[in-house]
Amino acid sequence: MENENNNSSRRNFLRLGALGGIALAGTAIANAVTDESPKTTGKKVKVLTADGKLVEVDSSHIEHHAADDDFSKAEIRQGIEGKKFIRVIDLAKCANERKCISACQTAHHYLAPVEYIKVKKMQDSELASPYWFPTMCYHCDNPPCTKVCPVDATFKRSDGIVAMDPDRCIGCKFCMAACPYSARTFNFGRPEQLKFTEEHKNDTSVANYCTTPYAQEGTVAKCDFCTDRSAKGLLPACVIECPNGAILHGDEYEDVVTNGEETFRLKKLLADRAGYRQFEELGTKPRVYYLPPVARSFPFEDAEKVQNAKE
Amino acid sequence: MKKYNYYLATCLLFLFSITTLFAQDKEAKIILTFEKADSLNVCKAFVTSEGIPVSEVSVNLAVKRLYSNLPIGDAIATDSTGVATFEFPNDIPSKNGKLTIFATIVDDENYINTETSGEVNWGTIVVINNSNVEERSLSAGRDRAPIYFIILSLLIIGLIWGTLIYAVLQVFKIKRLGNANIE
Amino acid sequence: MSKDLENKENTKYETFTQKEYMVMKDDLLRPIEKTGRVGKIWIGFLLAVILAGIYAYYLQETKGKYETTSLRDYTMWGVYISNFAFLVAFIFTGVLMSAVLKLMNFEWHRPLSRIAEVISVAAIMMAGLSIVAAMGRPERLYHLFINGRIQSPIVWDIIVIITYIAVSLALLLITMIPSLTTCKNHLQNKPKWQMKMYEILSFGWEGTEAQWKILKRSIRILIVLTIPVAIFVRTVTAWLFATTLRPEWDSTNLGAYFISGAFLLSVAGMILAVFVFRKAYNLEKYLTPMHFDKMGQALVLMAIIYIYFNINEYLVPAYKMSGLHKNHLLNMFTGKDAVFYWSVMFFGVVMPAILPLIKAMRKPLPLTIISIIVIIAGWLKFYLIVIPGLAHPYLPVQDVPASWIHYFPTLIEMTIVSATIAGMLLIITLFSRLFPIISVWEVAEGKLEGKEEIINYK
Repeated sequence: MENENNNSSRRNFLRLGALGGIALAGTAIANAVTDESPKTTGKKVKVLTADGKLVEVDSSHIEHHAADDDFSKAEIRQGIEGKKFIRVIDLAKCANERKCISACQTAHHYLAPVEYIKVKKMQDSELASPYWFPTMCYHCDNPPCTKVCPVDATFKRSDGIVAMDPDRCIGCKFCMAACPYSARTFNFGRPEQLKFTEEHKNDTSVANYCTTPYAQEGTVAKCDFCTDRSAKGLLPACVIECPNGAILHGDEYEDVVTNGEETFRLKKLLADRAGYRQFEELGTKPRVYYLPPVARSFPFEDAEKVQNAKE
Repeated sequence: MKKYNYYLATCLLFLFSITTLFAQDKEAKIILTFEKADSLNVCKAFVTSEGIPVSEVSVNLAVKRLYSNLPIGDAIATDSTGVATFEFPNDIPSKNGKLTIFATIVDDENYINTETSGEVNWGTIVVINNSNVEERSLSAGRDRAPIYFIILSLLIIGLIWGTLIYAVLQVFKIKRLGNANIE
Repeated sequence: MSKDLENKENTKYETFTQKEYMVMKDDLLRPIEKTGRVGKIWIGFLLAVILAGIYAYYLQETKGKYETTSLRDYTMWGVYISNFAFLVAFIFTGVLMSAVLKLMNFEWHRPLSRIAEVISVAAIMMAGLSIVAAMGRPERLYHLFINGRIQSPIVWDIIVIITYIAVSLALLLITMIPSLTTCKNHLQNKPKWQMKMYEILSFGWEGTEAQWKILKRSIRILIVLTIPVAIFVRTVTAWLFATTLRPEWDSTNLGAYFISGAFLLSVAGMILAVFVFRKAYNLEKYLTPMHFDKMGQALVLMAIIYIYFNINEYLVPAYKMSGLHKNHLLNMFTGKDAVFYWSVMFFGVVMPAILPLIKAMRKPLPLTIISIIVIIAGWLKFYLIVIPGLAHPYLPVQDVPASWIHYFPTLIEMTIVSATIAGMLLIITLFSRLFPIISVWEVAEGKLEGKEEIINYK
C-alpha cells in the first residue's frame, strides 16, 4: 500500500489496468467457485423472444442484467450508463434495527465503529415525536465535497453517484470538513482494521458482497450506493438487510424505487407521502428523499444502550 | 345414534381433508397479447389449463425494472372466456421504449404459480440529462472549471507574478551596472 | 573604492560621521561575527525540538494516525490545521512593520523592517509543513500539481503561499543587497562559502546613484505587492473554513476576522522578536524604548480591531441563537469549553487592548510579557476555532466511542507542532547569524539629515 512512487501517470494507469484485470479475474473465479449463481428452480416460464417466438426457459435464467460493462477500477469515473440512482427512506418504518449498518460493514469489509450508514435519533422540536433517521452519503447533485477536493479524487458521475478514486486521494480531509451531513469516514490506520483488511480483502463470499474496497489507509471512504451490485441488478446491502424495508432504492430514470419486496413509482410515492430532503435549504440537492414518520408502522422505541461505546 | 353421527362427521371431515390435501394443482398457461384501443394501452392475458380457457383466475401484471418488477394496478380475474384485460399506463419510462411485461398467477387455489413475459414498445423514452455533470461548474472535475473562474484566476496570478518578476529582473540591472563599473 | 566616491563621502555627510557609521556597523555585524554560548545553546535546543518532531512524524506515519494522534472521523482536523492557521498569521509582520510603515514614511520602521520580513518568510515556510503533517497520503502530494482542481480552496492556498514565499523572499533579499556589500567588505574570519554567498547575493552592488534608483524602485514595487498578496494568503486560509457548510465556519465575517487576528498576532510576534534581538545582540541603541512604545500603541489598535471582529463573529449569532448555531455557541459561552473560551478571549483579545494603554506597560519588558501571553492565547484561539467547529456538525453526533467526541492533542501531535514553531524560530535565528538583522543602510539613511541618498558605504 505504501509503494506509490512518483511514476508517470501512464505507468499508474497500466498498474491500475493490471490490478483491475486481476480483480476481475479473481472475482470471476470467485463467482464460479462460490454459490452465487441462482439454482435452477425447475419452474418453466414462457418467454417471448425478440422475433416473436415463444420459448420455455427455467425461471432462474431470467436475470436482471442492467449493464453490460464490468465495474472495474478503471471505470470508476464513468457512471453506469442510462441510470441515475435515487433513494427514498421511509421514516415510518425505521426501528433502529441497525441491520443496515452491520450489512454495510460486512459487505465492504470494514469494522465498527466506522459506519457508512448511520442511524440517528432525531427530534425536530420539543413537542414533536422523536424518530429514527438513517443517514448516509446522499450523493448530492450539488455536492459541497467535490467542490473542495484539491486533486479530483471525489467527483460526481452521470449515474448520480459521488464516487471516490481511492488511488488519487491525498488524505487532506477537506471533503469531510465540507460535508454538512457528516457522511464521510477516514481510514486513520486503526490496527484492527488494517489486520481485518489484510485478511479479508479478497473475500467475496460475504453476504451482499460489494466490490468497492474499504478505503486505503490515509484516505476517505463513504457509502457508494453499492453501484457494482446495481450493475448486476442487485440491491445494495443495506436495502436488502433492512427487516422493515425502510430503505427504497431505485433509478430515477425508471421512476421506480424498491426495497426488494415492494416496488413503487417514485414520483407518485414522493407526492403522496410528502417526500422531503434533509437540510434542503443548504442547496446541496441530495439524492435521498425521506418520507415523514406519519402513520408509523410501530411506535417509537428508544435505544436501550449506546452503540459503539467500545473504542 | 349420536355416537354414529359423530363418527360419520369425523370420517367425512377426514376424507375431505385428504381430498383437498392431495388435490392436484393444475398447470396453467398464460398468453399475453398487446393492443391499442383508442389511445389506451390494453394488455390481455389469456389463461388456459390443459387447453381449456379458465375463468375467475387472478392475474397480476408487472413491468420489469432494474432491481424488481413494478406491479401495475390490482390483480384482475379472468372473465368467462379466460381473458384478463388490463389497462396499461402510458407513462412508464424506458430507455428505448421497450418494456418487458410479466403476467403472473400467484397463490391461486387451483393452479400452480406461473409467469409469462412479453416485450412491447409502450414505454416513454427517457431523456438522459447529464447536464449537471457535463456542464462547467465549481463542483465539476478539473477539466470543467467555469470559464470565468479560470480567466479570473489566471489574470490575478499573472498580474502578481508579472509584477514580481519585473521587480526581480530590475535587480539584474544592478548587477550589470556593477559589473560595468568594475571594468 | 574610487577617488570620486571617497570625495563625495567627505563632503556631504558631516552630521553622521564615518566614525559613527563604523560603530554602528560593528554593532550590527557583531552577531554575525561571533555566536556566544547562549546563542549556540539556543540553536542546539531548536535543533533538538526539530529532531524530536521528525522522529514523532516518523512514528506517526509508521504506526498510523489512529494510534498516534487523537484525530477521528468528526474531529479529523486537529492541531495541525489550527497550527497552520496560527503560523500563517505571522506573515503580516512584513506587511505591517515593513511595508505599511515604509509606505507611510514612518521613520521608526528602519531597524524593524528586516526583523519583520524574516519573521514573515519563516512563518510562511513552516506553515506548509504543518499542513503536510496532517495529510493522510503525503507521498501523493504531487497530485496537487498534476491533477489539481482550480476550484478547490486548497489549491488556491498553495498558489498564494508559493506566491507569497516568492514575494517575501524577493523583498528580503533585494532590500538586503546594500547590507550584503557591507558584510562582504567588513566581515573577517568567516568561512569562504559565507563570503562567496555575500558576493553573489549582493549582485555587484556599488552604491552608485543609478543602482540606488533601481533598488529603491524595486523595493517600492515589492512592498506594495506584498500587501495584497499577504491579504490573499490570510483570506484564502480563512476560506478553508468559510467555504464549508458548518455552523461555526459558515460565516461571511471569517476572512476579515482572520486578517484582524493576524494583525494582532503579528504585532505581538514582532514585539517578542524585537525584545529578544535587543537583549541577545545588545542592540539597545537601535531597538529603543521608543520602538516599543510605538509597537505597543499598534498592539492596542490591532486588539481593538480584533475585538470588533470577534463581536461580529460571536455575539451577533448569539443574539439570534439560531438552532443551527446554538450547539457550538452555548458550548463555548456556558458549556464544556466556557472557561477555556473566556480565558482565551480575555487574555488574547481584551487584555492587549487595555493594558498597553498605560504608558508604563509599553516599556520593553512589560510589553513583551503581554505579547507572549497574546501569542499563546492566539494559538489557543485557533484551536477554539477549528476543533469545536468540527465537533458540532449539523447532524448530531451519536453512537460513537468516547475518543471520537473528545479531541485532545497527543504528545506526538504537539511535538510535531512544536517542531514547526521551532523550525520557524531556527530560520529566524540562523538568518540573524548570517545576515544583519537590522538593515544597516536603512538605519544609516535615517540618521542623515535631509534624507539624502547615501552614495556609498564601505
